[in-house]
Amino acid sequence: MKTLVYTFGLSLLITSCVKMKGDISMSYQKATAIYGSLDSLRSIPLITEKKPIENPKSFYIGHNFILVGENNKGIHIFDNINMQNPQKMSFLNIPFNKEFYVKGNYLYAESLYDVVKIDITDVYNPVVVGRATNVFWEPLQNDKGQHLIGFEYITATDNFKIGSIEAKEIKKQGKLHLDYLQNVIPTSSIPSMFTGSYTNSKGTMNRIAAEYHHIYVVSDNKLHVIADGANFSKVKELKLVNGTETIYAHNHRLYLGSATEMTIYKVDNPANPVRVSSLSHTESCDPVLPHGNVAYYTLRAVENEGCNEMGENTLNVVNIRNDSSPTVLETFQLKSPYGMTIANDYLFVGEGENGLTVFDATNPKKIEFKKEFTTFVAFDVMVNPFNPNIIIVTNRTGVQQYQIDWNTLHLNLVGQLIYH
Amino acid sequence: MPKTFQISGWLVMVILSKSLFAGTISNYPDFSLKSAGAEVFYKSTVNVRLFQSFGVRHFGYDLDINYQFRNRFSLGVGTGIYRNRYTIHSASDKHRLRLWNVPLYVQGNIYLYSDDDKAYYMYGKYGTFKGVKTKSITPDNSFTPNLIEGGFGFQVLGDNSHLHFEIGQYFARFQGTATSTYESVIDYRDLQFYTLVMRIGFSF
Repeated sequence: MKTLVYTFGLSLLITSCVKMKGDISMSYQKATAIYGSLDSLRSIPLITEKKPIENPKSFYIGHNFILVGENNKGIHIFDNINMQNPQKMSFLNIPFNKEFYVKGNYLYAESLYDVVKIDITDVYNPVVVGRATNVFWEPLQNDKGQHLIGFEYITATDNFKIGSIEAKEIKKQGKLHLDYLQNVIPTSSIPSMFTGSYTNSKGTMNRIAAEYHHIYVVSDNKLHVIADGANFSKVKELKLVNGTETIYAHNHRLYLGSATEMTIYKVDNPANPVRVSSLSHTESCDPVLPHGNVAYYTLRAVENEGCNEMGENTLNVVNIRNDSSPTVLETFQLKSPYGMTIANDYLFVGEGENGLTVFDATNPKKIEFKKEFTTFVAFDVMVNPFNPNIIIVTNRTGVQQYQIDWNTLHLNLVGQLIYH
Repeated sequence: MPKTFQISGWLVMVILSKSLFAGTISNYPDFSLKSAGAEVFYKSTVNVRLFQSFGVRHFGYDLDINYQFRNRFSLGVGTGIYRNRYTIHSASDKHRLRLWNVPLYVQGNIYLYSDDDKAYYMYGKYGTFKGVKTKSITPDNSFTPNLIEGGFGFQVLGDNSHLHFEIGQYFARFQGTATSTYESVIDYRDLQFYTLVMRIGFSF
């Protein structure tokens, strides 16, 4: 009891004696709330004419088509029958979309507060078949009953008292969000879709998984569970560790990658994921790829990407046979790992500007370095699910499609889609 | 760099204390006077002290010289090198203000209790400082920065040197202008640092 009192007293002393005061005049991002009708936003026509690619994000390759996410706006549809020259066909209007996921004939996409389910059996004539509303957030409203649908940003210069609500908000991200009464809206009360604090997500770096008749979406350090049946609606929300970035479903488990740990949830009851264990690591960005009884996760520490620059760049092989106690079997030093895929017992790791690295994963507990390709940039990598001899890599300029010779691991460029 | 600086600075202090200060410490209580019932029981003399300080957003080194009166009081002047920091996001980047400064202050101690191997005291200091122009800040020379500190100390009395531990409240005010990475001007007006500081040092 005495120790508790002393500890409390000391904490009080320290916190009361450490502060900053004064005035600060500086430039900051002033964000004024925009209110509007959610109904009209939700009823925007889904399919429109093709548009130029401005800010590509996620991508998916389907049977003779390619989908490229346009950050905050929707998805470009390309005809990929002629891989050498994919043709832009049309555009899916999905306001505030940052992430989408395709499972079978359905596409699941975030759209502002909602998750939308789109039937893409005929990808050129898609149909919205479900909408789970207000999954991520309960919309804020103004005095006229309109909903918050965005912010208008300007750079402003003002004077603030250090320690004021305004200065404290600006200190976090250099932004000040104001509501219709010009009152400060704390960043913690604003969906990350507005604040731009989403991390880049590609391939194994997905934030959406669709398995076991449920959709799992990672957002704002929460796991949102949506029942994917006749009633397409949110059924559960779980709090996750800070910095959770990716999700991958495998063998009735969910593998979540955060900046500080890999976490495993069991989904024996898909509507109610239960945390099984976690494996801590140094603070880095980390996609996870489970395969059989092992999981591969990479840690990336690249400057200016929101990753911890002082972290590590490694590929780690984890034994998940006993998923209540995952253990690292091997660690490989890499240069800058991003997305991964596994095919024909080969593990492909996109290393961004450092190319593509291939490991022989025939024995998953003892993988071997096989080859590296440094002549192209590879952020994410995947195998064409409809043609297992085509390896697809993405980078900032576009999507490249390579025919692979599995005997020599030679890659032959057979097609590419240039964004600009 | 600060960590390297702190560790190397600390090593220098330890080496100095071991090699140079192997004399007889002078501000030692004179128990012959105390046992005689005298109120004054310190040898009046000059002593020099070296300190390293740590605090939230603060670290520094101090060198001071004090005159120990025969009563419980000592008075002196000191200088050193401090670093205070403050981080804020501007419109385009995160600006880290690192204020290196050279303080000049007067200080006094009052001994509260002494026995043959330890002593407890209160201390206070008041002074000004010169902010160093760096990439992160340009001090406003029209503003006179100042600092105030007060706290408690514990002194282990050794044969050749005395070891000190101090805990106190530090306050400094400052004014200056910074330019963030993307040319955004940040004006710090009457910036006031309040922090709890801990010090470790030697007197000889």
